Amino acid sequence: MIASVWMLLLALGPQQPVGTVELRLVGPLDGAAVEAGSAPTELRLELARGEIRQFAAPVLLPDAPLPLPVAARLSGAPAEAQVVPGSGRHPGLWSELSPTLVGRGLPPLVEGTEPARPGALHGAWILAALVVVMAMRRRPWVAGGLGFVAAVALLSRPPERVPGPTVEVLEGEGAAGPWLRVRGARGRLELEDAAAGWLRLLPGSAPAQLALEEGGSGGRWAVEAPGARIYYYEALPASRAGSGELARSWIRAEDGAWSARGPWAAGSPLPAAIEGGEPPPAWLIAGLPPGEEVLLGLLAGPGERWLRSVGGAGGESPLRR
Amino acid sequence: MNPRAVTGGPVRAGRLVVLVGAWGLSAAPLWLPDSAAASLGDASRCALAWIPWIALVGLPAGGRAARDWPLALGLALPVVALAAGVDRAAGQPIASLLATTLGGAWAVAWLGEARCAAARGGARFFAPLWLLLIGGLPALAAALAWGEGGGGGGAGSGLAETCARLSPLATGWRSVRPGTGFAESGLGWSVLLAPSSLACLLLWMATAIAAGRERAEA
Repeated sequence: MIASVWMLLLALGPQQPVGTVELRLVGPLDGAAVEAGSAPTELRLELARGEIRQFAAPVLLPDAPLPLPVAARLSGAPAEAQVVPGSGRHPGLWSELSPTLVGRGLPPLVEGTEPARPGALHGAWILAALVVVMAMRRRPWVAGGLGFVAAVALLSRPPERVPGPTVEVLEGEGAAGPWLRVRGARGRLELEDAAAGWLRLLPGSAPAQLALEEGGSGGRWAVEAPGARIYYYEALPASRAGSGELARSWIRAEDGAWSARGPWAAGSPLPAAIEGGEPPPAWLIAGLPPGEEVLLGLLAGPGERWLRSVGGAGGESPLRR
Repeated sequence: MNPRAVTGGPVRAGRLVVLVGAWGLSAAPLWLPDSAAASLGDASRCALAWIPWIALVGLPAGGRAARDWPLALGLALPVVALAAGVDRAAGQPIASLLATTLGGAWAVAWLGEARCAAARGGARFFAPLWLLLIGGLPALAAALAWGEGGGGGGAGSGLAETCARLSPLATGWRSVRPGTGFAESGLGWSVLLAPSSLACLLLWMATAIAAGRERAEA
């Protein structure tokens, strides 16, 4: 109970808008930063001479409403870099979102249990360093110097970061209503794309930055705030809310009675109530408006993805089409 | 292969085994099985990588072994750098990692240099002081903390804290918990003024002065 009230209070805290700007970069480039608001967006990119890349970059904006388009400038020493005029996008005003949609409890986030591991290349490298340094054992200072060089080389190619487990909640108000996708992780949250949205950090004073790193097609965006809980809100058209099977589901009737329904396959009728079924997690029911039907569910598949839809629970959710 | 043929004798072969063993201990936390690695939680792999070297490098010895601390440092640095990369990937702040790396390197360098000075003379000073710094103070700190029953706050816990801060081995061990030990001194470079860093420097100075006097008397 206390935990759910706490998570609800957290959900009512401040948030920061994240806009986007379209960037056009021409190499050579060895890192740059986009400055548009409260904190720069780091571009950890290396472009060869003449290489051109154009992409949308998220930028952390000040709390105050900004005129559109978002103003931004690039710092660093790129060969040629510009913000495409008129490309700025602001996520809009938080206050314009449905209060029943954004006032719900947030998922608790656990620390990552997956420790970062060095790769096979790192292992081969330190073994090679061991052999070379030992081969020079009769000249300790030379051996020490070689060890230092090997260490510097290792620092230039550190092990990959291991993101903490990401929790996702699809927040909706029935089939036709607005939808939000809320994703959360501790310390570092990878963004699937550079979509405008709203960022919430707990504690709110935690320093955060957006960063683009090489990897995948076109790079990987992430919000980095070591030690903090990071939540990212993104408006989602009902058509993009997705469809799929629920591994677990719960229904709240208009009279407020909860019933566990177990797994619910897409397109199938509403399963019968399970007698003595497990209740939904406390944070998932925190902040829900009274007197309306509610559908809660854990989406089947990899990762922790939850569904929380108010209104139209009896088969009207976009997930149930 | 006959180790005598390569190293020139069983003593040198033993020295190599000790160095490679320390290297193995230093690198082992990076390649633990998943379950064991998870049990380490957010423990600093960088601090764990330093511990065998801090314990080993000052171990009283004579001959060539006394002068090979740069070799030990050369073996330690790649593993420490990789461990620091793992810690960074786990989200530990750079300032904390810099402090742990510098603190460990500083301790290894001065403990090694003190042993080198002791081998030239003044060994009678060095061995008991080294034993106090590496073995005695951590043991005393642990005994006092145990005597306090984990409650803390008493006179014993203050003394235990002081003992642990003076010993480079205990400080290295405390650094395993992120943000403590070497990293307590704040920004990276100020770790060189930490009590354990100064204790290592003083050990070298005392040994070097004693060695100089012995040579003058001889």
